[in-house]
Amino acid sequence: MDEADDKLLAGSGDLPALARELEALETGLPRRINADPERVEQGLAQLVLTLVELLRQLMERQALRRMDQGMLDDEQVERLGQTFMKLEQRMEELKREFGLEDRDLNLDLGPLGKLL
Amino acid sequence: MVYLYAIVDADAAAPTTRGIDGAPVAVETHEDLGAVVSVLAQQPSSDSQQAVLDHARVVEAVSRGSAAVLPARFGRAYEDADSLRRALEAGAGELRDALERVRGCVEVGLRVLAPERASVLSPVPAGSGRDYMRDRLATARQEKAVADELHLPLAALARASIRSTPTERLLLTAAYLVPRRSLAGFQTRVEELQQSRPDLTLACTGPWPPYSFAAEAARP
Repeated sequence: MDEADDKLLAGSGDLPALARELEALETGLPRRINADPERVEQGLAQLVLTLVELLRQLMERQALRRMDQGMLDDEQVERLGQTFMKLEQRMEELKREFGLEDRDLNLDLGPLGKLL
Repeated sequence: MVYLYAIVDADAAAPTTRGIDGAPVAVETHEDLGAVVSVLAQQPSSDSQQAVLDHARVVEAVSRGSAAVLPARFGRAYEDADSLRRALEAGAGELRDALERVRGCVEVGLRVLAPERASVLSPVPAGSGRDYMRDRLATARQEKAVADELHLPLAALARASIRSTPTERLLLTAAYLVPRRSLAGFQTRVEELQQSRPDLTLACTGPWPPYSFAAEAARP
């Protein structure tokens, strides 16, 4: 830990929150599903929801990019918006149901990066 | 097997530190290139935290003692000295270019975390799909603008930079290749940016060996 502290050239704000975010990235997808019967359902849910969340984010980014480039008409934007809203709502419900938080579903998208 | 820690100039001194499993560390040369290696009985596993730390420690030590270092990723190994030499020979041009690029430089990392969005846990309000999309587009543009505001002035001070944004809350993850002599100025610039955006969480780390700027090149 001492060595890591030495490496901090500058830092401000909520550093523990940053550390949690990075830790979640490391462990985003469980390497193994916990085979404990009590926990196996949550482990599977985490795996499946992580992938669904990844797809949702990728699709939303793609849609926003096309919207930004003026490639979608009003009706298409409305339909896509409704779809993403419902998807986000459903994800929130599922996360609550399985006791998962946003950071349990983080995946490093790497060079795919952000939308714009 | 011959395990590779880093590529250096042929005249670089081998670090005195021990390598993975306590093995001695040596520099094998091919023309003007040097490979920092240990002879190991078997391929180290990335599950072994000790081996990963040993690798990092050797790379740090090499990096302190030489002007140009291309760290290899953990786990790169060759059957014997001959196959290492063949790999160096095949990749020589690329490795020389990469060594020149990182010469005299260290890597500095920057991560910027956005304030937690209050709306995330509240149910999405029923509105029009168009409003939702417009809202998301505005947010994305704003995040891009903030990331630019921090990244561009720092990239201008660096010899090279790599930028990515891996999660929704991480506004910016970037690595900068900074000449050692400019490190203090770079740090001052980070602190100025930090003061201009007290709402953001910002962590700047380093100096590191230039891992992000060598990974491809050190794969001969």
